[in-house]
Amino acid sequence: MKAAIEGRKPQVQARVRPRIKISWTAIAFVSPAIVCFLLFKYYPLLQAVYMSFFDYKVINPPGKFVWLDNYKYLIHSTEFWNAFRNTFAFFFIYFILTFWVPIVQAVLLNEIKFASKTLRSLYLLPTAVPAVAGYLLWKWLYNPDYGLLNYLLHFIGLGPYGWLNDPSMAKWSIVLPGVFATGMGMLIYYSALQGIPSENIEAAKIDGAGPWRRMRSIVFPSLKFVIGIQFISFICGVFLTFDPMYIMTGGGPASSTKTLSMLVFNSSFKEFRFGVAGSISFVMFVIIAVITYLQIKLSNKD
Amino acid sequence: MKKKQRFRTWSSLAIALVLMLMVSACSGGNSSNVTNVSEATNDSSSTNAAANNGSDNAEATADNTASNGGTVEITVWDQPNPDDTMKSIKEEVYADFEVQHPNIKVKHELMPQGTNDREVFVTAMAGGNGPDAYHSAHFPIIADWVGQGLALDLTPYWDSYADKDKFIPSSMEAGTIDGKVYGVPHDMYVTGLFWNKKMFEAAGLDRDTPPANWDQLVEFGKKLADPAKKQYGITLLGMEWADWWFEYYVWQAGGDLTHVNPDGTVQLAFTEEPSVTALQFYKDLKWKDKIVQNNVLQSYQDNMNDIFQGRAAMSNAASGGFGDYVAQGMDLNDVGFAPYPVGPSGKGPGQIGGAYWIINPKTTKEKQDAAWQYIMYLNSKEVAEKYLQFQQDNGIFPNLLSVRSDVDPSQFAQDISPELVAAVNKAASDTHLEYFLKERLTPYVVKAVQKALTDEKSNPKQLLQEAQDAAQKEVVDAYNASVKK
Amino acid sequence: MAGRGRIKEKGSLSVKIVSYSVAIFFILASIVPLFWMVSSSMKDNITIYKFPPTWVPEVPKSVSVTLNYDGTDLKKEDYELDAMEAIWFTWKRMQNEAVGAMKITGVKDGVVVYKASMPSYKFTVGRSEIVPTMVATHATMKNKLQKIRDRKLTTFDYMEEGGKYGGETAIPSELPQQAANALKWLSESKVVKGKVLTIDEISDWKRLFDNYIVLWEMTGSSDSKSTAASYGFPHFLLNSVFVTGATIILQLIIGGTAGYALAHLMRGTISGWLTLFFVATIMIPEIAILVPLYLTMDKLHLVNTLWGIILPHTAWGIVIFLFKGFFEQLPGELLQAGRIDGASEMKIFYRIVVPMSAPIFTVVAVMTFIAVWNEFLWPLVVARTQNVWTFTVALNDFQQRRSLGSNVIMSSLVIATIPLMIIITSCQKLIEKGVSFTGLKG
Repeated sequence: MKAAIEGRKPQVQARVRPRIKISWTAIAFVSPAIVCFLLFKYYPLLQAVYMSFFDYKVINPPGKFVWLDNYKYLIHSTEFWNAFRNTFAFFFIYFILTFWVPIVQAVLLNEIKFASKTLRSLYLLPTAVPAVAGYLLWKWLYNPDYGLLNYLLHFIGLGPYGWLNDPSMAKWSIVLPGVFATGMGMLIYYSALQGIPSENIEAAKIDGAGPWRRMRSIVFPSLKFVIGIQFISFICGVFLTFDPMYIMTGGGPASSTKTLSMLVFNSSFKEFRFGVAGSISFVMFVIIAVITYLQIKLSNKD
Repeated sequence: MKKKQRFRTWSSLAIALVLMLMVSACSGGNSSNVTNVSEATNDSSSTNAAANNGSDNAEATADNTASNGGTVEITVWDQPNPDDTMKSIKEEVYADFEVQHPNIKVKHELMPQGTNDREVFVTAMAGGNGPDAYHSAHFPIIADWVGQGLALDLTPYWDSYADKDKFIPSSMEAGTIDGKVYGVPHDMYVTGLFWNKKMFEAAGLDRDTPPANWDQLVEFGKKLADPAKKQYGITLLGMEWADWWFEYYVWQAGGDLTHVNPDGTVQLAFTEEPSVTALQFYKDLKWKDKIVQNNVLQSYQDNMNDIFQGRAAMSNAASGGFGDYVAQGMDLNDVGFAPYPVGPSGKGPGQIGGAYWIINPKTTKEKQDAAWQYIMYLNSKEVAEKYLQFQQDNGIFPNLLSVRSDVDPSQFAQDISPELVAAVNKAASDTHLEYFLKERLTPYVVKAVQKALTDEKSNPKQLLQEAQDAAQKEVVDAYNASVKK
Repeated sequence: MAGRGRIKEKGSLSVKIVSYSVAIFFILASIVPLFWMVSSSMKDNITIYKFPPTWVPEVPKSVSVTLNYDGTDLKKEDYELDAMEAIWFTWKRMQNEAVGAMKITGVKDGVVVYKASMPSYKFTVGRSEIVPTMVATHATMKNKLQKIRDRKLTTFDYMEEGGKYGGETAIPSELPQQAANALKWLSESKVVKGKVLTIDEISDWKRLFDNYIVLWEMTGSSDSKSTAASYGFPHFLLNSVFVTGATIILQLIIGGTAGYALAHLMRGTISGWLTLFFVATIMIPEIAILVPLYLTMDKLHLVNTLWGIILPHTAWGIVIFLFKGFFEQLPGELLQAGRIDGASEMKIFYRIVVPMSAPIFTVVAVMTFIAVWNEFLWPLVVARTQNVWTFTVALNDFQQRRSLGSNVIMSSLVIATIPLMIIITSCQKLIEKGVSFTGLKG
């Protein structure tokens, strides 16, 4: 992303900079990485595209060459479009529920002087629960029979809810745990805030800006860059989310939490249609590439 | 010129690095376990041809290898789990086999645990790391596996198998495809209705009378359900396998989810009257009668826990599973088993399920022969009876249904109430295989069932119509086209 | 001006109140589930299903029984058999009740002849083998006696010259539930020869941790003698530690050297294109190359090995990007000075660059640790045999296991949390430092 921009920058500098010979050391330093990337990224990607043109048989690869049949199948497949919609719905829900949370947390924590370090540690604590463990825990909390959540909510007169059992709530229920595991993101924003020169704040104070207005006019804008960066990784992360659905719902109820990632997994490891899986993979790659490209375009404008 | 040279050094370096990686990786892993795939595949291409010629007898080749002085090592995924109650007798039987067949060495590996055994098996096969013989090719999946090339055609072996007539016909049905035998029955079960007699008694019902039809099922269920105690009438299976138990209700309503035409093509029956009636009934159990668990999507394991711990009064049950019930703390005297309550059609057939032994088509001929020897041994009358005897001696509940007609498990079940044995036999008298093409149609049926169970406003007929339309377009059309070809 | 002190500033109070309440809300909301996880991990398999849920686990109850053998003529072995039957058969009947331990004291003519006891974790570990069913006969117990001894499931102390028995000699009129049930089964039993003299229930807080012991012993290497080795939770944790550790080391070496080469050892154009080559891989979704990557690993014979899990992690575009970004900021004069001194590039890297770059190495290490430690999908796919499972794969599998109750699963979650908890609390400062760097660099 950003590197793509930087990648061009040195071209200009190259003429200015003294010419450095390509040395054996350089080759020795960079080739392990090149081999790894070729082997574990580019080759599999090409392989995925290759597989997508076959009715791929694992036992007697590659099977029958079917040209674009797998892609045609996708276009007519209700499951694919359902997963496609779900993926974007998840994207939307993650954005509404989780993306802004660490920003608010960090901006407000920035106002706190007393016990700030302790609060930071406490924010970080839930991050220690391995993601898989967290999902298992939440699955249990959601249980409509003996789960803690419905029990707690009934004290404030809410529920009982079906949570993962309710097709209209399942997506939200999958995202909800993310609201309470934002420790790392909060920390990123928080440390970015520490970089604001104190003169700026003082100057605003002198201008008579109260703390709320300062937050709006100085603190928040200074995060813009970090938010942009975080947004890119947020997009990729959400687009590829797999673990919570696999663990909490397996894609159900009634396919309401089945995403493209789950579809790739199911079509390859449950239905053994590797060709179809390859074609979905390629579609996903294209979508991500387009999003990233747009993102670079937009940030270039700024 | 310079550039070219550079390129050459680059590429040679790259190659050297790849080699280094591979070497280090192999020595880091359990290199001894890694079978030489390329060698295996080379061999198999030639040996497969030999197998297809088919005339040579398995015994003869086994002897050949013996006279060559070579030992064949085969891998089988049948190592008992550490908490397997049959562990000691299995190990004894395995040791006996090697004594009787000094030229065959069997490497026993742990079978994948949990619910993803099929995935593990297929990925292992895809990678060439699959076992030489495998005993968990379930009835509904074997046809798919044969199509994928995962199971060897055993007909040449089977034809010269002395015991081939000893297997009961219903156990052979799913594993015989186009007249060729691909699987040797390993075990089988029949399903029926389980009920907890103690809970029946506590609810004021007769402890020995299960519901006979759908109306009674609902009536009993309402008496048994007690939300305050988190107690409910009957378990449903609403997770990814939702079609498995749902099909029983379709049968009870007098239909099936698919029909096979005489020419081998498939006709979907999702929208036929019985399927719709069944889904409506399923939905009513959840929303109107409220006699099932709240968490309709809970895992199979959670369902079982509800049964073991006395929260679920009735459930679908398999004849092979009573051992688990007692192992998990239920009193056998409280376990009731009967054929399903009948639906509107007046029928309630049980489902026949089970698994086959299959042999890896990609392994060498020697290994295939050795695997066949091993399967014959483990499926022999002696071994079956040895297991049953051990179970009787140790108070372990046996599977009351045997794949062999000359082995009678009830002979080894003297402590077990004859009533239960009779119930299993009764359930086995009217049976049904799972619906055809299940392995491909599951997602469509499951989606409809889940929707009905989780959305009170849904319309079963419409759900099934949608499922049928999608399945027709995406699965059945292609399948039928391939059959006609 | 002085009047505009920090405290009196308009709105400052409301900011404070809002800030603290938001922080406290989120912290509480995320810590309640954690607390509940720890609490549930100490519950028994029955109370964990109780509704309304209990916040504090009940202290398990030990059932203590005194059996009277007046008028019998038994030898040591007979006593042992009788004690085992009293413990195992009774407990089997009460398998789905919350019993923390069972203790039996055998008394004959007012003298203690033996003491036997078993905690709940031993029962959980041994029950599938010792009491697979409720069939309670002398024959079955005789069959199992040797196994109980071998696996040290139940302690049995025979007392040649036991002291005088000084405890209760009557059954209390009001008994707590577990004791009452045990009494019922014992008095109905046709096999146990001793008559119940007295029975009682004692709280035993040590049994709170039995779920953890079960987790440790359940699939553990208790019978490492047989070739059929099996793997327990510690094994899976160790796998995870190895995978994470090796990945970190490889990333630091491969990513560090490559990043340095891109920043300082190459001409701009080449470096630019190579950077693009590396960083563009961020766009390749992991799931999209899952299957081909699996097939690739298979060609390298790395499926079902720990290296199969580790090696694909050596190709993370972000790591190279971070390293390059950091190294570019290093003062060029230092490197130039080294070159003038005639030091080789290799030497410059190890002597000058590495020592100066501790922050970036920490960042990458911590980042990798968290990502790899948590990873689920790739190990699930490539590690199909138990011996190479990481703990995340094992956790997912535990759910499906009949022999592990939900309470034991909860304790496995707690255990899995501890390593990361240690890293996070002990390295908070480093993480904050590192995070500020990654955050700004992306």
